[in-house]
Amino acid sequence: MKKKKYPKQFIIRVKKYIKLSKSLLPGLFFLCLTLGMLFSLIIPLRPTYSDVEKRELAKFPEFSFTALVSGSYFKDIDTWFADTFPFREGLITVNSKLSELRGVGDRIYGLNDMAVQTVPEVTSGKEPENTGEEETSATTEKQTEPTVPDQINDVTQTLGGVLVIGDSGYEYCSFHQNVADKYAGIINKTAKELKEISSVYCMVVPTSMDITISDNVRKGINSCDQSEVAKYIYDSLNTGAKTVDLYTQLRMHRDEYVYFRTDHHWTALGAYYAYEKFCETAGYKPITLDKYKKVSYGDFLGSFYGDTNNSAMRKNPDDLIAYLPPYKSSLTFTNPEGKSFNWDLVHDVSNYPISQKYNSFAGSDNPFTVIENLSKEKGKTCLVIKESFGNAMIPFLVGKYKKVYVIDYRYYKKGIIAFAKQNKINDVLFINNASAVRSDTLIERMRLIAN
Amino acid sequence: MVFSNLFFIYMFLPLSLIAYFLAKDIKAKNVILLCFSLFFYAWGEPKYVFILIAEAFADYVLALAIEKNRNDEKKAKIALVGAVVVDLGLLCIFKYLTFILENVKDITGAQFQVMQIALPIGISFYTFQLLSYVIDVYRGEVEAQKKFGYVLLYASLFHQCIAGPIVRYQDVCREIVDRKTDLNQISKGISRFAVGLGKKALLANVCGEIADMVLLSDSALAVAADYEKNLALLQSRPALGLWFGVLIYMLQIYLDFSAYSDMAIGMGQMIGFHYKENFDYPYMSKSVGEFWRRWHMSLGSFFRDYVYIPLGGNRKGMARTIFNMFVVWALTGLWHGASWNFVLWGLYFFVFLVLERLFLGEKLKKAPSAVSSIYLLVIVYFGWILFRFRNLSFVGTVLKGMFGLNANGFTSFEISALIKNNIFFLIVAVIAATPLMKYVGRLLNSVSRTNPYAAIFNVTRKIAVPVALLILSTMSLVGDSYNPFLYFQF
Repeated sequence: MKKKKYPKQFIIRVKKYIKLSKSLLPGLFFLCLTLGMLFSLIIPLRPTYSDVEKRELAKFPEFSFTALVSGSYFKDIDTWFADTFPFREGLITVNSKLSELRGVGDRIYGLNDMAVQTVPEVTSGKEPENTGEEETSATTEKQTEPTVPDQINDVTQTLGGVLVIGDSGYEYCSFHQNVADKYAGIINKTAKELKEISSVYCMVVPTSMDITISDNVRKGINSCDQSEVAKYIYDSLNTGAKTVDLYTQLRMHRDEYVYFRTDHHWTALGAYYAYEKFCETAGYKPITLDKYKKVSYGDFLGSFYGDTNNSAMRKNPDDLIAYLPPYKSSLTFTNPEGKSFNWDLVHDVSNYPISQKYNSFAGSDNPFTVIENLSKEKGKTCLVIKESFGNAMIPFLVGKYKKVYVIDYRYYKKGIIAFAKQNKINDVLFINNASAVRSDTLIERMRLIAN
Repeated sequence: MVFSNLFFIYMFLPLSLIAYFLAKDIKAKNVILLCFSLFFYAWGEPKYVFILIAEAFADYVLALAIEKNRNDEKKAKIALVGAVVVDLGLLCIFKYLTFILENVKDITGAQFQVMQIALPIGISFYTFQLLSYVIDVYRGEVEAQKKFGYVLLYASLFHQCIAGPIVRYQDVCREIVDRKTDLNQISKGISRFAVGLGKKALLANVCGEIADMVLLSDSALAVAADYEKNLALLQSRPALGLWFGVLIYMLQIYLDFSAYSDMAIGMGQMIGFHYKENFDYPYMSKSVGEFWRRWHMSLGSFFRDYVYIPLGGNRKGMARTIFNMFVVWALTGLWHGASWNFVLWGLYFFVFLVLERLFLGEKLKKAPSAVSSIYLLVIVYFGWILFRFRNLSFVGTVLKGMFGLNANGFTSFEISALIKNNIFFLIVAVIAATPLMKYVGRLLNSVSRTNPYAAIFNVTRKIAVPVALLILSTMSLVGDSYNPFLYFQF
């Protein structure tokens, strides 16, 4: 090959650059390290709360001699250092955007909740009164307050496997027969104990996985069939509890905005259709949706986004739509510390952080809430036993009752059956989503307060 | 503390480097290095740092005793045996005692409570380093160190103390006392460190997440109460998923471990230490023998020099050679963890090494290189399944599942999606396990000699790539929970 001639001046410059470059890398690298160190020392730059993940970030550990000796003190400093690193959210956002370059297609996050167990038929030869537990004499006489372990952190719902198709997330569902039996047992027991006093309704709420995905795509996905889960539970109820077929109802409206795409909850609209179906089952006349005032509280990025940081979701967030009721109400909730607050039945969350918008409904997740319908002189009473899925439905329910009591079984610590007896509740509603009724920790907690 | 930890990168490393380069003479530099090293170790093991110091001190004294009794073979030997007893004794107590007692309990059926002893970080690595030091002194290959500080620095130096490479004292004895570095060396060290960091944070951690998704995480598998659940999950994994999962794990374990060695070698180079290479693209090997000469080389050479050859190596006939190999590979397996699966994993390689020695080796040499490559990769691939699961029934389940014998089907929507989600990543990870990028670098170097434009590009890349890797790795480490170095457990 012929050697090309380059201008002498140019060659000299290149040589200069090469010479300079020898100190350029050490300089730049140490600059990066030192800058990182300095920034990391500016404590005000460190975030303390993650909106996206909805959690307090790690705190600087308190010094103790035992922690020092065991090594946990240093380990906690490591965790604090990395968890509250300056510009955390920005760095995580960029990183998750880059990580989407790893491949193509619908995204899978977590494989441990794929359906392993198939849903069996409920055998007809089953014990007539399956209460899922042994009867004890203590339950018959005066109700004592059950002792419920105080571990709020364990009972908040964690998402299992998540599938992301385009800008929509879907949660995987699995079936655990023992948990389903336990859940059915709780409702059987409640219905039996309250036979003379209340009507008990069981509503297993399907999640978006079985409703809004097209049948073609859904066919291949290894998530258990939630209609079968609901059927199994409903077939196990044998003490008079009434069941509400939400699966069919929501499937009828599957083309509407009944579930969020970036959050595992249903929308207020989805909850309205469930309310409609409940009214039909209970023989009430539902208040039509046009009586409510539709409002938007702005963009919402929920738990699916928090789990995946998916950029398609970020680009196209959900719209938190609420329906303001035509009736007046007063709501008082008691928080886990035992303090009471007055709140709105549907709260304007326009100014809430983008991840917190689902808190609009019924004061969100509190151990105990009482709502009084002020537009009604008198009427029936209702007790709702729910996790967060129930929240969106409560504003609609209030229209049919004089008083609605809401118990979030994850945080409530007293007996629900005793409560229903004492207050002579007319309707007791279990509103629980398919993902909750497979979680042993959640249902065990519910069992403890249904004693 | 681990190297791929933000606190290490943005606090420990800059502070230690600033202090080191500000110190005016080598004595001060060494004091600083020793202080930082002990601090580094104590950060992870505040109690056990004293074991490290005590062990180093015992070996320091015994090595001096050997040196003193050069002419008294008997006394020297007693000192040597003393050192071996101290070092291996500590290793046995902290690493193997629980395992031994559990086996005794299982075999005899005796009823007693087995205490759980926590493994001090890095004990397998620094014990072997100290052991090699005393033995080399005994063999007269190196002089005993007169100053304890140097022995302690050798054993505790944070570059290699907790996850290798197993550096020999004779390789660094001069550099421990005095060493020089220059901008060129510093640049090279930085590049090496950054490559290791990127390999760990950008590749190995992601591999780890995927492997844990498919094959379940170590911590999930360790819960005895979840045995049935874990078994059901593994049984339900489609065949393709298992093949993919094991492949990803195979990449993870190489990328993870070699990344650590890269970072250790790089940090050493920044301040004038020259550690030997620990990995030489082992997956490019064409026989099991070659693989073990290119995988964790510092461990392989340790067993060769201190076990295999002293036992007689291959000089005492075929039967004895095979016995010697058996001992070496059972020990190599056991070194990786106090569990039978690791011993079996070592012996698994022993079988192929014997076959290669008997006849297979000759055939492999004659065979087309594609055939011998595939032969090696298949053996190593299946070996990692044995390595992954401490409970052998999981090994059986996964092996059956790979051939569709769990009624688990070939693939599923989820597995196909998972593979598609990571298809480009997989290509990059595979490339990172081959010397391809090294060749590209060499090509660029040679082109830049004649072409000034290429020279500009080449010089710029040498600056930009390490900095970019540092920044990308930082981003991936913020708020990331998955970060253990695999070789920590050893």
